[in-house]
Amino acid sequence: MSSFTEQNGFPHSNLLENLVVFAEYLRRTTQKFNIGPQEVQDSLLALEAVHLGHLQEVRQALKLVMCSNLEQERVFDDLFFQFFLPSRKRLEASSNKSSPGGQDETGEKSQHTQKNPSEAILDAHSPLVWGQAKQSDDQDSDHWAAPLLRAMFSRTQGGETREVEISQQDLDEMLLAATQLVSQVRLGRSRRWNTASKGSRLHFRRTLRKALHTGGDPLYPAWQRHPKRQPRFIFVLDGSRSMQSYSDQLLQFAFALRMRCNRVEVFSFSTELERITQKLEKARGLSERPKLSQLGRAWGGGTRIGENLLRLEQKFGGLIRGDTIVIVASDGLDSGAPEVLDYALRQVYFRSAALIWLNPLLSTNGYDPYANCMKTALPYLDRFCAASTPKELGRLTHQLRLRK
Amino acid sequence: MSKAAAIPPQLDTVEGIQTVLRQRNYIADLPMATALRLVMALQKPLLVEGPAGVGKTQVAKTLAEVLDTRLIRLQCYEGLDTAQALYEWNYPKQMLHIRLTENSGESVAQREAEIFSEGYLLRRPLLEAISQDRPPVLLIDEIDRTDEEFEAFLLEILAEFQVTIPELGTLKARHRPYVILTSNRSRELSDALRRRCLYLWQNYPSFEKEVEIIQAKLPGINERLAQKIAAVVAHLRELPLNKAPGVAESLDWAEALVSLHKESLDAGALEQTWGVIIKDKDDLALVEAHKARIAELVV
Repeated sequence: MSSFTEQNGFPHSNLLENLVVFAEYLRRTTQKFNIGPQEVQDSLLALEAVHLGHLQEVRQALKLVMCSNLEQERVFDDLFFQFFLPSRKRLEASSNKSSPGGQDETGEKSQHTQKNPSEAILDAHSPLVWGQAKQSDDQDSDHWAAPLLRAMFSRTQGGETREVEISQQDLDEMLLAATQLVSQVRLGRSRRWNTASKGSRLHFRRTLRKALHTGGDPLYPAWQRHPKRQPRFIFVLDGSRSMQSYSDQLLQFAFALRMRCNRVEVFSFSTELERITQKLEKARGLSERPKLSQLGRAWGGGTRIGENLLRLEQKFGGLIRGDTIVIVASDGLDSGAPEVLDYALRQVYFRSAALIWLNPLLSTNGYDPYANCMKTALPYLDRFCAASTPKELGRLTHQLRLRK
Repeated sequence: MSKAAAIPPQLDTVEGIQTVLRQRNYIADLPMATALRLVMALQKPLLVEGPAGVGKTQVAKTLAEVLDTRLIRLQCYEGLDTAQALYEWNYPKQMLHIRLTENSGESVAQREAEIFSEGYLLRRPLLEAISQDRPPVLLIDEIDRTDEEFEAFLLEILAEFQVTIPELGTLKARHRPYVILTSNRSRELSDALRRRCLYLWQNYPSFEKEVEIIQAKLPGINERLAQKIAAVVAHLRELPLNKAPGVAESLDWAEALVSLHKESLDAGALEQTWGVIIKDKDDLALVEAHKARIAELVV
């Protein structure tokens, strides 16, 4: 094995050392590879099972053992080559397309798998491409939006470096509103059966055990019933500059919602999407002045609603289920292509139990949702509303009809 | 528990696996063949994620064929519990036994031991899989459809290959089954489950691979027709469809065209057979809008 590592110019002299350092390298990436001693051991076993002289088999074997989700799987090849063969570049997909069936410089046949529709549409509207998109249709959104227009079409990347503080003022009211929002959702019952003192189905196993003591007569029946389904929430907060006046209050509401219910996931986006649930959890631990730091491009920049909702569906689609209520809090002033937003919302709509759009501008006099983004979104919304006070926020799910 | 039963020597290498699977008309690329090699070598479960219709389930079926062993399938759904997945006691038989032995003079403890013995046990797929004399292929299909409780319950089985039945004690697997789990990512699976598995993402195949698959499954098909089918399907997958056609749809479509005696694709054949690959009203409308481009591909 050591000759193999030497031949290939690997960083360390033996395979085990290389694997341990590679595992450490992967753990430090943003994809947070979950690799412990067991995985390193499995990697060694995996390498014994494949042909060590065949680089692609080695890479593939390590990938199978060390990756545990799609996000990791997508970056693994690059990380592998960066670590083991920094001098050799992987051939880009574009250059491969011109030589179908050929071999790339790593020896792998250049047959490329096709993309999912969501990947394809996202590529078609990548920032470079949709940077040239027209913005004409929003001309009719006149005086009411004038102060916001400047911020709205800012394509700057944001890159918020300051800490975002979660206001403590009126937090109690927000907590009450969050409790109200969670408790008024009625999802019906699960298909699972649980033991209960009263129910609709006989629990045979327990009944029979009890019957043994009464000579086989089931005098004391045990029951089962379907437990209540508990709703999940995904709160997607537009943290762009045009939402500056509202985002602090909405972030406070998201914080309160997370404090009141564990089945809440919170995302923030500006030019990029970020899952901030963990950050809110950490902020909760601070008794005074909870803050969120390093929100980067998910706060304070331009607005890319469609692209970020599509990323939400692509990367975190598993969180959007039949028992999930998705709440998007945004002013809808998007500079992206409407077809991306249309596709993203359609996907979210089909996956979720309800889709709510909370638009703070709706309470502004003279505002009509004529902007391209809102026109695109309206057919998919189960509720479109404004809410500026804790009381109104608490009623977001009041008498909400769920689709699943 | 014996760890591994004899595996045919040709399955000892990745290339050998590709060849053997090809003989069974399953075209496995390098990632899939390596995954199967590791499933056999490491005796670890394999979690295959990917869009619907890319051959995730088929790989388990083919592996069972190749290993000449039993395929035991557990189809997951919301509300699936241990009674349907693992075991259940045969209650009517137990009740009958209690009645018949009412006057036998046996103590409660004796009668309890009798009715909770293996003769009264109904084995469900998971228990069945660990009780085989020859390691079977256990397919846990669409694991993302179950709830978290069931996923947590699976952890013991996937890690230790043993099952604890309170009345009987712990039953250990005679042979470790080859476990393949599939998921369409309709919900996020737990890290605990993922860590116990090898992970493979299976996407739609490349154009070349899809042509190969069609030709392998339908040996008599005209090569040009197979290429056109693959080209149209590849184009459709790039459209923002609600239900993108998978390999299963390509094969159905190819079969439909062959059975309609179509030697080539033309506008008429497309009109006749859209329903085989497009299964959503909105998608049909979208495809109508892209008719011109599809017609170019057909020509």
